[in-house]
Amino acid sequence: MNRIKNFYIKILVFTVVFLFIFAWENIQAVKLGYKIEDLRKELTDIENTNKYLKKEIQLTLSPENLQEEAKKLDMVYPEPQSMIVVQENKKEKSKSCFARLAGIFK
Amino acid sequence: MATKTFRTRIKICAYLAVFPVIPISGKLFYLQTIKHADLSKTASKAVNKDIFETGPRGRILDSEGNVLVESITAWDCSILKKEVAEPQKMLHQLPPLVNMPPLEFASKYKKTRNYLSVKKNLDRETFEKIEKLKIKGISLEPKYKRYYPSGNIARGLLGIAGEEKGLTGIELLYDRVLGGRVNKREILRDAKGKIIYRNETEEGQPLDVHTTIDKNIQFFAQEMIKKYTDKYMANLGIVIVQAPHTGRILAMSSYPEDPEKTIPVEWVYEPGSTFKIVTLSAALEKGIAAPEDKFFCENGKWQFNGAVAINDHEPEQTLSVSEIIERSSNIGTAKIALKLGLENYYYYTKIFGFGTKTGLGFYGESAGIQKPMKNYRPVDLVTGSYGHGIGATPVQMVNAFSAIANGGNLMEPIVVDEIRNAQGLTVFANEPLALRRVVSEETAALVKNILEKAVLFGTGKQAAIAGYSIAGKTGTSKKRDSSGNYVSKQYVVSFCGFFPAENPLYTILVIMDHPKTPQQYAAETAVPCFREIAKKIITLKGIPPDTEPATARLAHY
Repeated sequence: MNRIKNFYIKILVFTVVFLFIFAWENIQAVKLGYKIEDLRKELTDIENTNKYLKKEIQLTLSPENLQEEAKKLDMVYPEPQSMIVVQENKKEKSKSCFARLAGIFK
Repeated sequence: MATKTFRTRIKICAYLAVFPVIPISGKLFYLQTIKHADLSKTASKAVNKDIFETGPRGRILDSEGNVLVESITAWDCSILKKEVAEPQKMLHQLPPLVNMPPLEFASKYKKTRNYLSVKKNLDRETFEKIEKLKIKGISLEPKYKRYYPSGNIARGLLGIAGEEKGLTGIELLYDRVLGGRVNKREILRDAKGKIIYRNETEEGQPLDVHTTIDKNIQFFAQEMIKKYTDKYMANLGIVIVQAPHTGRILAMSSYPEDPEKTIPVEWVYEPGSTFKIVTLSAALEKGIAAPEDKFFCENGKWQFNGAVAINDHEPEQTLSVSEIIERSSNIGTAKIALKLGLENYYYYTKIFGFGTKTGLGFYGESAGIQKPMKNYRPVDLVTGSYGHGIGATPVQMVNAFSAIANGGNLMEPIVVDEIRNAQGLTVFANEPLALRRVVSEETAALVKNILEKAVLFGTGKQAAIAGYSIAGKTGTSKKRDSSGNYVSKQYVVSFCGFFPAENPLYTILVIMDHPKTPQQYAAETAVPCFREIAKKIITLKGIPPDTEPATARLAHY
């Protein structure tokens, strides 16, 4: 008789625990749903702020703006003749390489 | 006995109590297990809601990855009068934030029944200030707007876009690529209407269009065309910079700029003497003339067929083919064309891309004007040889010069390099495409050489830059009125050239429509503009000098 009673009690406890977990799980899902939605909004907000800040940087670096700033500093655009093109001398480079190798085996 | 009866009754009662539970349990089992999937789907549909959100449009970038246009969030501010709890506070604090005179705002507010649109496209700073007021009844609706972080760069080419659709330029041409992707989400609303996230079913990511435009070259080209169009009081100025070996458009602009039109592909003009390169190329390629062949130029005046007068701007005697181009003799070019014949002339105008759309694909792109060969009269061949009686678009012209510059291949002009996804992976790449060989490398080299001389000794002298070999040709054509008659002293002037002449990296076309100053010819107007742009590009890209000092080079010729 006692065994049957214990069996019933066990089933009851199991059912209560099962229902409790089920309800807890659902409540957590809803809570997370709220949280995810809030985080989505926050993320969108941060992305917007980020875009606005990038916009400021790009605007500062726009050719129009750079030209204005350069003019304020009395800078002028160089003429092609005032340009000095520095070219890598491959021959000399290779020579110096051989020279270095020669140095090693001296 | 009584006890037995009592027990029996209890048993019956117990059975009666348990009996309904059995079918109910059975039904529950059926619903919860066997029909679970179907029923939960139906329930989800009834309780959860699908919402669709359109994301921002994709970005348009230049060839170096600088953003030319992107979407940012802006806010539309409006008021729902019936919901405003503190009208006095709002009337006092809101107008200065949206830059509205308080009295004007108050009067608008008074006249409104309920909904009042206050201001559109508010930036983030203003949005935050208004939000801090915490006044009930003020609505701030976010929306996307197009923004140009690099400033006023290539606006005519980029075009304009509405909230969700491209309307002109690249925005329209690549609308399906740039269009904001739709995100589908499953949500649940609580009693207060607050959203509870359930599931993200579809997430769209915008695609970016990487153009061939070089932001800095575009800027300088824009600056210069504006400067010179204003200086010579022209109706319109157009500039295109192209990489001749790939056909990539590096800069394309018109002034005054109209974001609703892509003028350099829509506008049709009579190219004038710049078109002589087609006649020249055809004659050299066909072996009909050599650079040193001589033609008598009739002292600058020639009655063709005794009816049509052809004039040169300078009276010329006998000139070689090379000199005809250098000095831009119409009579000489006409005589070359007559020797070439209509069939050859017509064939070469076609293969150089005139009379056909370039393939850029812009809405409103013109194919130019070229009548069918059967409608050509002898005089049309004569005038057509120096670019009159034929209509070309600026893109066609720059592309034809690029074909000579790159050694004879007509390239397909391109404005878009790649399309990339949000992760930066290329989903489409526009490879340079040679449409056809128009002339042999040898002919292209001969034409190049003659065009170089046109800059050193001829009408394009003003384009010369010490230390750099430049090849190019001027063009001045009379404008036509609405009835098709030529108008005196109204010209379309142009100069198209490329540099360094030996291995050209840049082809530049400058056009000005009807300069109104005493300087009306290409040599005085379009050529200096070309020179300025070329100089800027040389220093910007660090192009080393490729020729000997000017005097030594002149002696060489």
